[in-house]
Order: sequence, then C-alpha cells, then structure tokens
Amino acid sequence: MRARLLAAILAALAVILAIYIVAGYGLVALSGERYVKDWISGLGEKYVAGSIKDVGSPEAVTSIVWDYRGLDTLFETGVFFLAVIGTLSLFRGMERGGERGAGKDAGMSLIVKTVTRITVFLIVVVSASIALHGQITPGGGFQGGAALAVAPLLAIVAFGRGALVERGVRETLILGLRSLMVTIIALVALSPLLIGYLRGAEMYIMQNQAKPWAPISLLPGYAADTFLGGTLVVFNVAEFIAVGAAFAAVFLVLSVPEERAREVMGGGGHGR
Amino acid sequence: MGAEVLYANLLYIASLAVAAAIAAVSLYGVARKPNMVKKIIMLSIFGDTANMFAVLLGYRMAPRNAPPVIPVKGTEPLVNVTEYASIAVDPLPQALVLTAVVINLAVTALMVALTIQIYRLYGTLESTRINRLRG
Amino acid sequence: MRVMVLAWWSFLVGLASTLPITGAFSTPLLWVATRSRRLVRAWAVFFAAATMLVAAANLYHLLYVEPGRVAVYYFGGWVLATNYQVGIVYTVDALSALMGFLAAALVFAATLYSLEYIGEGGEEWYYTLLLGLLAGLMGVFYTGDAFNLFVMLEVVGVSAYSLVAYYRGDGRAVEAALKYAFVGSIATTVYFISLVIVYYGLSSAYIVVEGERIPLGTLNIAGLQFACRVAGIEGAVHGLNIVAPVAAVFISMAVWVFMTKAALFPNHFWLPDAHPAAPSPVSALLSGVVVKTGLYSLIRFIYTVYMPSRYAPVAEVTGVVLGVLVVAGALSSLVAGFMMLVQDDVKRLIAYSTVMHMGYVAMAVGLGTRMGLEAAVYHMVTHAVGKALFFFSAGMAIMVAGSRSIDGLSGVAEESPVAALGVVVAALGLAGAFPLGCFSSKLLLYLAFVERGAVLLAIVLIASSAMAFAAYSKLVYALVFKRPRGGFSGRRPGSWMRIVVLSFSALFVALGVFAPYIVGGVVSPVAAAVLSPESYYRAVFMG
Repeated sequence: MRARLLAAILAALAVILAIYIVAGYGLVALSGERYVKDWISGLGEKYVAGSIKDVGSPEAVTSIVWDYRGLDTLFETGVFFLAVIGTLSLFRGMERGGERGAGKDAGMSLIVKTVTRITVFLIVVVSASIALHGQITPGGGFQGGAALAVAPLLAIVAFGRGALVERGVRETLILGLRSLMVTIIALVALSPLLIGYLRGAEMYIMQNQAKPWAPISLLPGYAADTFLGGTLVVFNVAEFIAVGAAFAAVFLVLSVPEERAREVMGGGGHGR
Repeated sequence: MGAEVLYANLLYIASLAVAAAIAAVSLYGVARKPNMVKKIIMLSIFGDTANMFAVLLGYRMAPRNAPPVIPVKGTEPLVNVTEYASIAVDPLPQALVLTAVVINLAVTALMVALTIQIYRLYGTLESTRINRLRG
Repeated sequence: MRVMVLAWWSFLVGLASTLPITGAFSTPLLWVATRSRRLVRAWAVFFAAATMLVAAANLYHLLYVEPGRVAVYYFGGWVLATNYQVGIVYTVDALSALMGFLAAALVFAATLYSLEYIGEGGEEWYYTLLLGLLAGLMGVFYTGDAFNLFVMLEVVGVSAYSLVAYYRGDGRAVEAALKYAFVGSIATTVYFISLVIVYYGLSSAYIVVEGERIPLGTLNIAGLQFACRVAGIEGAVHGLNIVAPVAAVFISMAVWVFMTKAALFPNHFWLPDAHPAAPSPVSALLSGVVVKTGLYSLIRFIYTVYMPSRYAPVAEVTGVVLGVLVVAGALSSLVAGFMMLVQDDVKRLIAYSTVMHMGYVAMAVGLGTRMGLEAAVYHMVTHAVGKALFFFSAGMAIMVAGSRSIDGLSGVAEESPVAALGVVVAALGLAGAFPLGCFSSKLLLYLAFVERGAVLLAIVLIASSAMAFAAYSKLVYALVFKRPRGGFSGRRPGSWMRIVVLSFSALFVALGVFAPYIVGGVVSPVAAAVLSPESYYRAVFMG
C-alpha cells in the first residue's frame, strides 16, 4: 500500500514536470522561427567571463567547483568521505581477513599479471594527467580519482586481495592517506583565516585569489607560462589521491572473502 | 532558418521529454521492484536523469554552443573573453551536476554496502521475503 | 566595486560547519596514526564542544548584542559583484542561529553520552560520522544558498544512514537504513531537479536597471526572495509568463521534499523504522534535530521566499501550501497518536511521538500567523530537548534491562532511578503535563489555533495529546510500578550518561517553568527575525 502511494505521488510529480516542459518550451518550438534554447543565465556568463581574471583558470567549470562555489565541493567531498566511512563501519573488523591465498601462485596467470602491471601504470599516468590539468582542460581531482579507481580494482582481481595485503596495501593505510588528503583540503580552505589574522588583512574561508576587499592571494594564479589557478592545483591533487584511495579502500573491503565476513558478523550485533 | 531550427527545437524538446519519461519509469521501478539491487539501479538511473536534465537546461543550441573553457595559449586568452562568454554554454549546471554525481555515487556506494549486509543477514534480496523473514 | 569589511566576529559564522567537518576529516587519520580510541573520543568531544561554543556565540550575538541583525559570511570572499551572487553565502538570522545552537548542543550531549554507551569496536567510525552529521546540520541551518542546502542535506543524510546501520548485525537496523537512504535520496534528487527548474525558469525573466538586463536566475535564497518580490511589481519583470509555472512547480516540489524530510503524513513511513534502529544517542539526534531540517527549510522557504511576494500565482500557491501543511500536520498527529497506542517497542513508541510533534509544528507553521510561528519555534525547541531526553533515558533503561519491549523494562526504576526519572519527566513533559517543557509550548500552540479560529486544530492537539498520554502511561507504569520480570542485563550506565540525562531533565523542566522569559527573550525575537524578510535580503545584497 505504501509503495503504491509513493508511486502515485511520484508519478504525479513526473506529470507536473512533463506539463511544465510542454507549456514552457513546446509552444515556442513549434513556431520554428528561433532556437528554443539559445540563451543561458546571466550568472553563467559571469562565470565564463570572470574565470581567468578572478581565479586564474580558463576552465570555468573547475573555477566554479573549487573556487566560486568551493564550499559545495568541500562538503561534497565530505559526503563521499562519510559514505566510505559508513561502508567501512558496516564492514568493520573484516579487514584482517583474506590473507589466505597470498604468494606466488595466488591470483590469475602470469600473462594477466604482467598485462595488469602495465595497465595499472598507464591508468595511474592518465588519471594523474586528468587531475593535474584540471585548471586548464576539462577534468580535475574527482574525475582523475574516479579514473584512478580502476587501478586497485584490476590489481585486486589479477593479484588477489591476499597478495596486496601482504605487500602492505591495507585498508587502514589507504584510509590514513585518504583522511590526510581531505584534512589537507579542509586546512587549505581554513588557512586564509590564520593568514589574514597574522598579516592583519581581511581574508575569507575558501579564498583563493586576492579581491579588492581581501588583498592577499593564497597561491599565485600563474607561474611562468601556465595557469595554476591558485589553490585549484592543491585541491585537485589532494582530491585526486583522496578519491582514488577511497575507491581502493571500498574495493578492498568488498573483496573480503564471504566466510571471513560471516565469521566476524557472528559476534557483530549488539542488539540495540 | 525554418526547417533546421524546427528540427533542432523538436530534438531539444524530445530530449527533455525523454528525461521526464525516464524519471517516471525509474521512480516506478524504485517503488515497485521487490529486488533491492534493482531498486538501487533504478535510483541511480533517476539520479542520472536529473543530471541529464540539468545539463540539457544549461545547453545552448547552435550556432552559439562553445564549451565553457576559454581557448588560451600560455596565459593569454585567444578570444575576447566577454564575447566568448556570450556564446559559451552555461558552466554552472555542469558544476552542479559534478557535485550531484559525486553525491549520487557516494549514496549508491553506501546502499550497495547495506544491501550486501542485508544479504548476509537474510540470505535474500527480495523485500517481500525479507518482510516475511522479519515477521 | 566597494571595499567591504565584515565585522570581526563574522568568521564564527563561516567556522560553524567547516570546523566540525575538519574534525570529521581528521579523525580517521588520528586513529590510523595512534590507534588510540581514547584520543579519538577526546578529539570528537573537543570538536563538538568547539562547534557548540561557536554556535552559542553566534546565537548570543544575534539575540542580545545586535538584535535584529542578519549575519552573513561570503565564502571565498565572493562578495556581491554587480547584482550577481557568484559564490556561496551563509545567511544567519536568529532562527538559523537558534536551530544551529540546538543542533550543536544536542550533538555535544550525544557525544558525551556515547562515550559510555557505544562499546569497543567501530568507535572511530562512529565519532567520524557524528562529527559529519554535526557539520551537515550546521550547514543546513546556516546556509543562504538553495543548492548548498541540497549538499548539506546529503551530508546529514549520508551520516544519518550510516549511523542508523551502526549495529550492523541487526537486520532491522540495516534494512531501516536502506529504506531511509532510498527515501532520503529520492527526496533530495527531486529537490535538485526543482532547483534546476527554478534557476532556468527565472533566468529567462529579467529586470532592467539603468539600461542593463539583469536576469532573475539565481540559487541564492535571498535572490529567490528578490525574484518573488519583483514579480509582484506591475511591469517590473520582462518575460513574467514563465515565472508563474516555474514558481508553482518549484514550490510544490520543494515543499513535498521538505515534508518528506520532516516525516509528515503521508511520507512519514520511513521514520518509525529508521529512528528506533539507530543507537540511542543517534536516535536522540535524529528525532531531536535531524527531522527539523525539513521543518526549518519549510519555514525558511515559506516565510523568507514566498510570503514576501505580492505576485498572485506565488501567493496562491503559498496559500495552498499552508493549507496542505495544516491538513498533513493534523493527520500526522492523529495517525501517530493511534499508532502509539499499539506499540510494544519503547523506541518505536518514541519515534511515532516524533511524527506527532512534527505534525503539531507543521500545523502551526501552516497557520501563517505570527503567533503560529512563535508556537512552532518554541515547540521545536521544547520537543528537541524533550525527545533527546526521552531517547537518552530510554537508552539507559534499555541498557539496564537488556530489552526494548515495554514489558521488558518492568521495574527498571529500582535498578536505575536516573533512567526512570528521565523517562517519566520526558513522557509527562512531551504529553503536555504542567509545568514541564511541552506544556507551555502546547499552550502556545493552542492559543495560536484559537486565535486563528481553528478550533478543529485545537481539538486535534488535545485529542492526540490524550492518546500520547495513554500510550506513555503504560510505559511509566511498567517502569516505575511493575516488578522486574527477570534478571537485568548487568550493564550499568556510566556517569556521563547520568549527567546528560539529569541535566536534560533539568533543562526540560526549566523550559516549562521559565516559559514566559524564554518566549519573551528568545522565541519572540526569533519569530520577529523570520517575519522581517527584507532584512534577510538586505544583509546579503546590501551589506
């Protein structure tokens, strides 16, 4: 009954949406004289026009993501961080499993392992370039990190979880790395307060380049012949490593053998 | 003008209509499919449709649809930035979608973990059977 | 561009959410580096306490130092540039500051309580999620940007889903968390769609100032208010025909979303599963403040954005929304009242009571009067304290008895008088017994209903309170007068738990006894701040 009720409400919402679309755009479209959607918002034009001057990056999307609306991204990082923590919390105590099957014979055949080594290297290089060029070309920390995430997945499948754990690739280590990177992001975001206090100038949380009312740039917008985008580079690199590490931690914990998981789960419930 | 404009407009409206239709179907799936994994798939389709909708609304139709990345050589812009802004598509929905994509991903990851846990506890993913097992 | 200097204390506004998220980010690092659970606990307590002090400073400032002021903080230093707000602004009026302080204080109390309640194993994750929840709550209450509100709701959501599933061996908890996650993420995605629609709908309408076209499209809440206001001025807006359908779609979608978040009938079904399944201190937070994010957003949008508009379509839809809120609120409290009578699980009983009280607040908000708003604000405060106390003390009783059913709690008073005292005070207070907390706020609600001539609502209030009283009396009887049925669990509540329960009991009594002073000194200024939307707009766009 509840499900049906929910479905009815949601279907009604969808109908409202469809009516809006037809009413808003449909009539104009049939006139055939002009493009229905040949304009964007004035705000959007401001971002494109101001990106180089205000942020030091020709890539307006990255400018919005890490500078104009940087707070959104700080907390979006927070959402992802908390979701991974939630996942690890759900699977707590299982990370010490899965050492079985470690050693030379574990995992897939030699051919697969060799190919994986090459592929993993390539993935790391490509994803790093996506992240590092974030302030110049489309891309950035999250996109790079998402690409990087494939590397640990391949490695787990090809070498086996045990082999990785044996070489010291543990959830805790990866989690420490991730936590370090997001802490760096938060501290860079907060650092203008301290700098502003020490130098007696007005500065704002998440500030990047100097403004007339806040005269200190945190990091230079240009260096030699390249756009750096000030803090954009730092944020992109930290986010790149953080996202890659987060995926690696999740994949590692998901690859825990089922028997081991059930063993831990046996004593897991506290009741309430 | 004329025919090609009409064609482009119909294409644009068709994409919006498709977005609305997919949203409706995916929500139906979330509400009605008993299998948890199917529900999660439907939910991510719903989230992606919302994102597609946002990007579509930020789009600008020909002839003015440059990407929101200013062409540069070194640190010198190759175009007049203000003029370029009047032909570029809107970067704001793209940035919002980037945020929404990450959030959807995070929630989906958590839901998948919860679903695995449910399977460990109940041995099934059908919500109807879980309700019966729970009593 | 003008050089603008914010007041020196403004950074406290920006710090309110960034400080706890820094704490959340660094907690796993601390854990991995030191492997010391004691340090993790101290870290969490420190950040929760620091955030509470920041929130208290903001509240004190906005109530007593500069009453009537709306504090703003421009993140990234993106002060208004020629009518476009490109960055994110925190806009804190007295209501935001009050809710923020309530959230921070409750999280601080829950952290102290958790020190002894949450056993070994997984604490490092637990406290990280708790700090994340705090950061999200502060963000929801402080933000002045509609899209940032979406992100913050997700921060709250994700940490809440994870915390509900904390007892991962309990199938009900995991299932409730998944259900909660489904409802929550559908709601926030719908909100995202509605934001995109309003942004683009308003972008095609523009006003002309000194020969320059200024589109109305914005994500800023004060900017949305501006759009709604100018739409009501004859001939000021070009392309007005798009504004009416956009406003109707946006308002109805956003209101549906916040009603779901606030667990109002008929979208309340997720709450009675999710709230009891969590660990008790988390239940206290979920029922105490997390559901209030929905009501806060409703008040924020209705009173700050829609009500100032004289534009007929917006005014009409707002009228309908107020009516819907009243009906949904009344049905929520009645349905919850009936459900409370048949509950056997004590935490589920308390969770249904949350639905009932959210219904009261929605009815009061739906009145649209000053007195209704005052009653709503005061009831949110008393309910937050009372419900937190209820879950804290019920958690203690459950810990002692080792059972969650009402019969299983028989005779806990002998074993743990503090737990029984907390339960009795909370139960009587929430039902509305004189002179405890909710008595005075229910009286205010009653007066607000009568003032508006809504006698039916007053009857609903009294009838559902009576049902709650009946449901609670069973619990109180079992706890205090029945003999213990068997052995207790042998676990003893720690001293922090006792301190939290006793201080919340005292606070709850004080909220009732000193009601006239609190209403005069806190609630009235807060309601006045909400009812002066121009100052909200001015603070953002005119410094």
